[in-house]
Amino acid sequence: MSNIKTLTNYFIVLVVIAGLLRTPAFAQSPTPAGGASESATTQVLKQRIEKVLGVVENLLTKKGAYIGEITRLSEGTITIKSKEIPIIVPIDDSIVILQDNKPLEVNKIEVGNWAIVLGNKSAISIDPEYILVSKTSLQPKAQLVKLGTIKSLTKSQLVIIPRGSQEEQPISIQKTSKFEDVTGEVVKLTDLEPELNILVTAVEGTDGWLLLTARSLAPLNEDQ
Amino acid sequence: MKKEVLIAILIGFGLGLTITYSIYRLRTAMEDKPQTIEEIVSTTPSPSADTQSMLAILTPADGSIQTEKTATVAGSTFANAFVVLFVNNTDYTQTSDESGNFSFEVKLDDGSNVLKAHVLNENGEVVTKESVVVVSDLYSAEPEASQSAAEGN
Repeated sequence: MSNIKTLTNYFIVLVVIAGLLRTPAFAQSPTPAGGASESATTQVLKQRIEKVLGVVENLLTKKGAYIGEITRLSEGTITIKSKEIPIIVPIDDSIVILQDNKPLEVNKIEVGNWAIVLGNKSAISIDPEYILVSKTSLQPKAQLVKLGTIKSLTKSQLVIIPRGSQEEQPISIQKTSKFEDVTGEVVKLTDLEPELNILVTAVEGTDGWLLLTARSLAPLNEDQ
Repeated sequence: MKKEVLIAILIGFGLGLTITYSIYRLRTAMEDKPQTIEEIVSTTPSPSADTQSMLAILTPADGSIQTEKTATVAGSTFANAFVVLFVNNTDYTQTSDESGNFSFEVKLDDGSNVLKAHVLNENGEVVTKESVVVVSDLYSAEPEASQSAAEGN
């Protein structure tokens, strides 16, 4: 029984200590007498925070651009998809809208058009000043960059086995395709041969990949 | 009276312990639940996930506007790696230096320029980074542009 009494005493002491620890919090709570001065302090703090936010906003905002496909039109805004992120662009009469360097009425903008939006840009939004509208896509063609070994090579087609894969990758050769040695010097198509390790770059065409550059990763045979 | 208080305290402790233990068991059970396929897919790193941060285009800044039709595209990546830069549909290739830095002098088109850098590691895996630059003289010739646009409207 005496143990129980001791335990109870400990518990009471703990409760008292907890109460004492809370005391400063009570001291900070508003009192009727200090209400007016604290309201003024809050007001001053609010003003200072707004000033700081303004400075931060100015630092983060600068002239910049977003490029994207117009995915939505609504009253007073257009939405563009820029790098998969939707950007809502507010529209008003002060914004200059151009298409092929000619003024364009806002109601002529269509979903699926592309837009370059210029203005005061922050990380996630833009205050537009100019909108350059394009009927055609501003997105480059799909690109292919591969390291691989030449499987076969003709005047019209290069087939490589990409590194880390066993699947053949055919690439069409165009008149503008370039062939380079390991240093980047231009060489002839016939200087490349099967089994050579190369770096290829290509863009997507209507019938597959179109070769831009094939660069050898090893010194070429001087006999050729 | 003291006995009743003591019993109440003990009951309180008991209840508290029971609730705490229940919460602990509940949290443990939730953490151990089998992942759905979507969760596994979303948490499984892609081959390039570890290396995605190893490529940066430092200049020009993403979304920048300039009047010059040339630019120095500089960035950093692995040391001695192949770096292929596409400016829209035109490619440039070079190898990064010992510190992983690269720098291309490129020609830009009027209007939109999508810069996409590809870096290849030894296994042939590709890491990419995209940035856009706009070539426009709208701001340098702002008064005339605004005036002519206003006249057009």
